[in-house]
Amino acid sequence: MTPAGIWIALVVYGIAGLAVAFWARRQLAGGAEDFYLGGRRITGLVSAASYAATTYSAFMMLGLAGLTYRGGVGALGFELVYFAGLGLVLIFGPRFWLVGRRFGFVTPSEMLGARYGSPLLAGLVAVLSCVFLVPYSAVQLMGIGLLLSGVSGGAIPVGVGILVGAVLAAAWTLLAGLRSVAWTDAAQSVLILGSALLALWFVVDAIGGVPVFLARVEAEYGAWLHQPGPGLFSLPTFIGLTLPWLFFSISNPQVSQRLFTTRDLGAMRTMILGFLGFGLVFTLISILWGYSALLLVPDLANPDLATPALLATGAIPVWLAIPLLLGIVAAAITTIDSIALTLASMVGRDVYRASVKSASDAAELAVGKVVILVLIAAAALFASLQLNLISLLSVASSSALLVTVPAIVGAFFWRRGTAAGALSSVAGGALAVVALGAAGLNPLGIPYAVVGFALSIALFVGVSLATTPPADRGKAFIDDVRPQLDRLRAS
Amino acid sequence: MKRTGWLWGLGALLLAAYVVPYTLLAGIGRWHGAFLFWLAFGILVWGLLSLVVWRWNVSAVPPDSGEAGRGGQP
Repeated sequence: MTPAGIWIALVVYGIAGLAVAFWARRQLAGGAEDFYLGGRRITGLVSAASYAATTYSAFMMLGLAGLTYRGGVGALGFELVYFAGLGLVLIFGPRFWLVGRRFGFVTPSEMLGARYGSPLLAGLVAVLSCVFLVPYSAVQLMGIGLLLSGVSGGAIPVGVGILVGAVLAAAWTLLAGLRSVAWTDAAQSVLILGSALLALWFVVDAIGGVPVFLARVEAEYGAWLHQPGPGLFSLPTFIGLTLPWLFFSISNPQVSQRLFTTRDLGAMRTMILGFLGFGLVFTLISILWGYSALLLVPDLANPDLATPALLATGAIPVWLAIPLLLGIVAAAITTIDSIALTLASMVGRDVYRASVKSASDAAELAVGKVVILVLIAAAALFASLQLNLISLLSVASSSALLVTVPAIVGAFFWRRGTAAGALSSVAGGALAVVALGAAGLNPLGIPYAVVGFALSIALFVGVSLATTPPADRGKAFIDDVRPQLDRLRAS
Repeated sequence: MKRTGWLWGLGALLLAAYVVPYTLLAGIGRWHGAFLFWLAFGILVWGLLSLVVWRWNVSAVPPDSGEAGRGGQP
């Protein structure tokens, strides 16, 4: 791949994305709810594709493939546990949707604040989400920079790659909010899955076909087909890595916010069905991609470079290498733009509007748009500095967001849950995760994510029982949704 | 299937996903070991969740459900 060819592809990709975003802008009606939630009228297929593109980041073809390269089949179990966690969307999806419609919630943190009668809780969850998801976005941008630099032989500097990703993510977010994010996501999901599937075909073919691929992995890398494999996935490590993943669909606001956006529950059903198909296929592709890299580019010092190394082997023709490259860039950008949009809505609504009582809808939206720019710029800055701190916060992000789960579950299932319980659970759990993660401590050999989560549950239950619950004891979230949920499940 | 019966099924599958590869299949360095097991796990999860969602009676809950209290506080 020549640098000129990569640049031409990036320009075409950028223009195509802008065209989709401008088209989506025509539907914009105005107001925060329309900007952040697409007016709660997103259709099923677009929701499915966008949910998939948002969830599956550059981690899949870079990180997960690298994890397979380093640790073997445990990477498959790790990703499929996340996949099984989508069962939570079946439980919480209709509940989020029903209370979101009834009370006009725009952000998951706003919902929590209202349920427990605590704007402080909403603000705390919003701020914590920023602290942990901005570094996660920075890692995505760093991935784009390293990938473009790697395949161009350094002709495209890492910093320029980061800038390209940041500019595109900002443009597609600002143009029409969720509408442009969802539609560009949907278009890119085809590129992400299609190019990866084709590339895997060519790589396996270069190895000698499916039978040779299967036989060689068994013969040369047998340890990569069992647990604990070459050593990465001991059982405690596997549990520590998978627990935050299992709860991802409700703990990560950029995906749980999508539960407010579908136009009806039929669209939510299509979203879930579409995502399930996409997720299973994309997971398998990424894992087999990692095994292919083991055979074609063995003994890499840094497994995260398996994909750029595979692209350099010539096993993939240039006409396919370019779309695959764009597919990985797209996977990163579709994740960053959704995170930026969600965080902007949380800061605009749960921090700015909660503290400036007279703020208008237009002011909230204006603040949100500034926040989008600031967040993406911060992520780009972090990415360019390549600090170790970013990696730490990024790894800790899903563990830290896990501490919001007890309050979310309690909102719909436990009448005794209180604001003090939720606040202490979120704050105490997050502090524990950050402290243990920074110190690299796993007390008694228990992964720090598990310790933080257990502490968060204990604080939520203990402090709630010691304090007085809201007067209505969660009636709107528990009793009022019951008849509709019963009708939904009556088949 | 009882309305929440699928949750027990999902729970059992998840438990097996943690236990089986580290016990019964530990040390089997073949495709038909942990890889096939987790692949079957993924397909069963896909089938189970798809079936549950497919059976949702979505027309019984129209989009304007519960909008009466819109904008209020719970």
